[in-house]
Amino acid sequence: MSVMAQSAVRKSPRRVNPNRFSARLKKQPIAMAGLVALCILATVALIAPWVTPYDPYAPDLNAVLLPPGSPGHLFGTDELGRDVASRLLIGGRVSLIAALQGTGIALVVGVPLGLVAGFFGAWIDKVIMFFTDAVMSFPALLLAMAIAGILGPNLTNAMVAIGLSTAPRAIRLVRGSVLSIREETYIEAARSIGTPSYQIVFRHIMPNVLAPLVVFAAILAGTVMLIEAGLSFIGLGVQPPEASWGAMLGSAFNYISQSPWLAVFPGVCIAISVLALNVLGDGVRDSIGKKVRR
Amino acid sequence: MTPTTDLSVSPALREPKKQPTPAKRRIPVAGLLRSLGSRLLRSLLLFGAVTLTVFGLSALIPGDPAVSLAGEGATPESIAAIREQLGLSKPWFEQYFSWMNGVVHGDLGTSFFYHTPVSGLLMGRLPVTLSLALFAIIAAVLFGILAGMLAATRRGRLADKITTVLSTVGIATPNFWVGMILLILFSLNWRVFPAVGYTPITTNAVAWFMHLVLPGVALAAAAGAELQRQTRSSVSEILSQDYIRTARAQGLTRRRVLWQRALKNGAPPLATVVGLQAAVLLGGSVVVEKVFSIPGLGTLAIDSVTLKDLPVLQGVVLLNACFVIIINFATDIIYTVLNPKVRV
Repeated sequence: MSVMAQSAVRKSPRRVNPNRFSARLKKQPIAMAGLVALCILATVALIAPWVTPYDPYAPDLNAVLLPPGSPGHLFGTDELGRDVASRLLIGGRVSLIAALQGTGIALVVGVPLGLVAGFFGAWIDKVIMFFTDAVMSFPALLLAMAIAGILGPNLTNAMVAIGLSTAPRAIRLVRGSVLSIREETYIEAARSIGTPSYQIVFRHIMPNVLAPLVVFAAILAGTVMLIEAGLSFIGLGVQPPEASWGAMLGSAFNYISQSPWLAVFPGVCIAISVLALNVLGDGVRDSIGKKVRR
Repeated sequence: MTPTTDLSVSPALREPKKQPTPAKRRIPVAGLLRSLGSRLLRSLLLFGAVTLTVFGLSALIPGDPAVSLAGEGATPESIAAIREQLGLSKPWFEQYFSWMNGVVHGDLGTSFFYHTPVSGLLMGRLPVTLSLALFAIIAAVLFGILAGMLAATRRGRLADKITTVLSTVGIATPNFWVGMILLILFSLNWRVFPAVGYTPITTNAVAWFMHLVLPGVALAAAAGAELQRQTRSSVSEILSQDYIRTARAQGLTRRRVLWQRALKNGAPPLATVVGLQAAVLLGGSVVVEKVFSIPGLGTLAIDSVTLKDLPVLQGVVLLNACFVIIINFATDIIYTVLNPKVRV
């Protein structure tokens, strides 16, 4: 096989045997642990409304601020006597859905713009990248806070704000991948036989952008979760009595000297979820097969 | 015995940012000045785009902005006053230019809530946030690079594993939660550091430092972790290069090879990460300031959202964006100076 043919095979993730991908992924215990943790979290989020031991919204003023390990309340109760374990389950559902929403918005906005910028180049690329740089000049959390604050505090607005603030990262990633693919021989071949632009983009470029995009989406979902936690903490995300892990930290903060344990569990849950997304993203990246790291 | 300079030619490093188009085959000074000029122009253009965005924030207000900003129980007079102050009856570009005219002259409008100039409020809070951000970035650079060097020189061994696990966890942990846990442990339980507040350095330098330790560490955790990863990967890549082996063979001590050759050649990507993290720190300090009740720009921003104080919010956001633009500009320059390949 000639060198060129070899590199063409290596550079096209579509031709990588999917079995080899999963074999590589399976060899990475940390990434697999992340995958398992995410599956567990997703399952818990799906079934949360039916498995909570208590009504997560029902106050019980006879059992306020019970410490963890109290009979009937494994993780204790909060300032209104609501069961912390139940609220963690429901909060996880809200946090995960929020992460999906925010990431989804960032991708829906960012991917088409990145494709256009990378594929057509010229002035339209310059314009898109200039505005991308402009939005990236704002710290994401601060911009999301300003947008969410002005639109009015609720979870949907917060997610729109986070999605818009992080969309430039998606634009950059997609544009970068398109730029590296655009010069490939098979694109030139497709162009020379008169394939229309939209077909080149969807049939030849998109599938190749997909692999790095999946990695990026996993890492971005982690970032979105962190920003959502920050926004909910300062009261711009979900509104009471609804719970997300960030919002639980926000209300725990008010009782930090009396009941410090309230601040522990939601934070651990956020950290585990983001960690799982990050290590899975890293693992997928290393398994795609372009350059498998030692 | 010293090696000749061509032994330290920097290896093909992964370029994290788009390369600027260097003025090729010119004397370096002219090239440097040229890239400096084009970057300066770009930064100014970005500033223009940023002001447009900040101004555009007011367009997001649902319904009639004047009614919405005046809040509940507003009299027609107060609504009219806000409409007058924002110049809402004029077309948007006229509003923008009069606002922009003020911005250029340091006039960011008047706070709806405090009824004082926004620029004064910002200047009062600025030293607080800058102290915190500086403390955090210094701590992050110090610990991040040290831990990264430790990991790079002991790849696969215990020190590598421990620091890498710590940095992986550090990146995934919300900074304000780290702050809360530090607050519980070090101020509420062991009473080592003060829990909340801030003392200006001019009043009491020791108290200033003590107030900054916990929030500074909370902020630095993620940035330090990010730096540890970058240092580990770029330094260990350099350590596997032939010229490092040659330098060792020529009798340079391990320590000198590490600090003079490896760190120097690994510095350009590190400078980029430091710049990126400094920008992230500014945003992250918002929530950390809230946890430690530090009267900085972050708490001002949160208060302005709660109080619907649009001019103050716009001011904080604009000021932060300006800092990010300046940091990016400085990072680019430092990168160019550190990396001979960009400069040629």
